[in-house]
Amino acid sequence: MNDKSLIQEFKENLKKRKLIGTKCRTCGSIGVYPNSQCRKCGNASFEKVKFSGKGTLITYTILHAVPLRFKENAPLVIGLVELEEGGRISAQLNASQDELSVGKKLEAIFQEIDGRILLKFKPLGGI
Amino acid sequence: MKVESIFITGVGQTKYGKLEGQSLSSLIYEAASMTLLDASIARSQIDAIVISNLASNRFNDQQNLTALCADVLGLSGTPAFRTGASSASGAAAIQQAVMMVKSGMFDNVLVIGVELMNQVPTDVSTSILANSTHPWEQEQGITIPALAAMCTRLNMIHNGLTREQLALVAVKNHKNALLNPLAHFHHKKVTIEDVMNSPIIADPLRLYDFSPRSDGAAAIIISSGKSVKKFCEQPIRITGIGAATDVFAYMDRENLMSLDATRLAAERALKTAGMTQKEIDILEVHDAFTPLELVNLEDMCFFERGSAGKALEEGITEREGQLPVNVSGGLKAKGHPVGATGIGQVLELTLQLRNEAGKRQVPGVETGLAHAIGGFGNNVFVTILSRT
Ligand SMILES: [Zn+2]
Repeated sequence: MNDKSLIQEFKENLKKRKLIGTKCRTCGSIGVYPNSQCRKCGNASFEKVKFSGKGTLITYTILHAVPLRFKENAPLVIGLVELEEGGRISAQLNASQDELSVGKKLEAIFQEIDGRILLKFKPLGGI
Repeated sequence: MKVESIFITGVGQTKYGKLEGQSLSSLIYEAASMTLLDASIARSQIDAIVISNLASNRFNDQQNLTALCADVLGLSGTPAFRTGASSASGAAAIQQAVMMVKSGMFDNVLVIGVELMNQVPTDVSTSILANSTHPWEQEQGITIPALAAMCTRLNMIHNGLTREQLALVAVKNHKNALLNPLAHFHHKKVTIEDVMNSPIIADPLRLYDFSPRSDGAAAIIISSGKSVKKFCEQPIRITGIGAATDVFAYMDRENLMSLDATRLAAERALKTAGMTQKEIDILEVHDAFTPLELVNLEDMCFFERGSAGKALEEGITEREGQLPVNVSGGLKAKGHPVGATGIGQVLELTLQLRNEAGKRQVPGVETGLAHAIGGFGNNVFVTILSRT
């Protein structure tokens, strides 16, 4: 499958509140946001991986200087999450400053903003 | 392949800063005229132009810089090319010119970088600069400073990097800029407290950890050995070039704590120069954010992992130290007119190697290394110079 259809499919799934990524048929490496070629082995054949949405916070920041279209939401809490099935994704977090720590268990939520579904993460079991 | 017998025969730059009443044309004209004068070369001897710029189409509503540049300089008819590699475009333009001369097709190539960023408000400029990130990152509101902040946090946790060390990078580079009359912050002394008390931009990074938005232009002439013999009294030799790219999105990289493209580009440049780190006398390192100076010095193996901060505390990278880093003031305090930045770094090394750096001259400099980053470690260019 080419890059365009892979990305389209990933985004269609997000709209349906599903997080589905790719697993390389050759080397088994897992990707969340799709890439037309496996970065590890260079092959281009993938099977699908359905993620539970649970993961671990690897690192994060609280971003005060945000691009124009996020102005109303500043500051943005941004984190890099490693999913329990493997693969990483960066996303906004619904978490307060004292809930933020590296290694924190998180889960995915799908938040509708202006008719668009945004993938976010929140502390596991949190509100 | 060795680079040998490629020379820098002229350099020139405008002041960096928030410049009133300037246009792309006036900046290009000023930097290029100084460079031609410095090289004592006639306009007619310029065989080609390479221009570097990040986003004139967004900042200034002008995207045809090759035509603009050739025309402004009275060089219409001369071939002109534009090179892009995000914020490393200036360094990419230099390396492209080196290859053009090395190919034998051109003897003297004029390389010009320009950026005029202060014609748009800060938040517009933040959005324009964020266009250098991966599409997914952009959709989440993730900017390059956000990526740098996430990388910094990991270095604080795992490599002993401290908040004070980051502040010290800013203090050192601002101190250096006091001796550089063309620097954006030529008169601004900065203390550790100033940095620590400045507003948070991307936690743990604060306003004073970041380079300013600067206007400015810088230019150099790259010449063949054949051409040098005719007109240049003090040519500086380009002995090594190396470039590399990295996985686009930070989330998809195996290595989250340093920049692999920096390591690769430096290895390649040192290899083409046939040199080791020990033979480099001074460095200009891409310090758009304070952690980059320290992490990249380690990526280029000038210091062991986790020890560049200590070297800074011990004064090793001060102007008077064993290995001066960013004596120009760096992007942090000399300024960061994006398209010009990589060229400005090589200009600083050229002045140092010619013993023409005025009050900030480091004595006895024989070699120098310039390091430029595009995006968050996406495109890296390393260039090595020697006195001939
Ligand atoms: Zn693979």
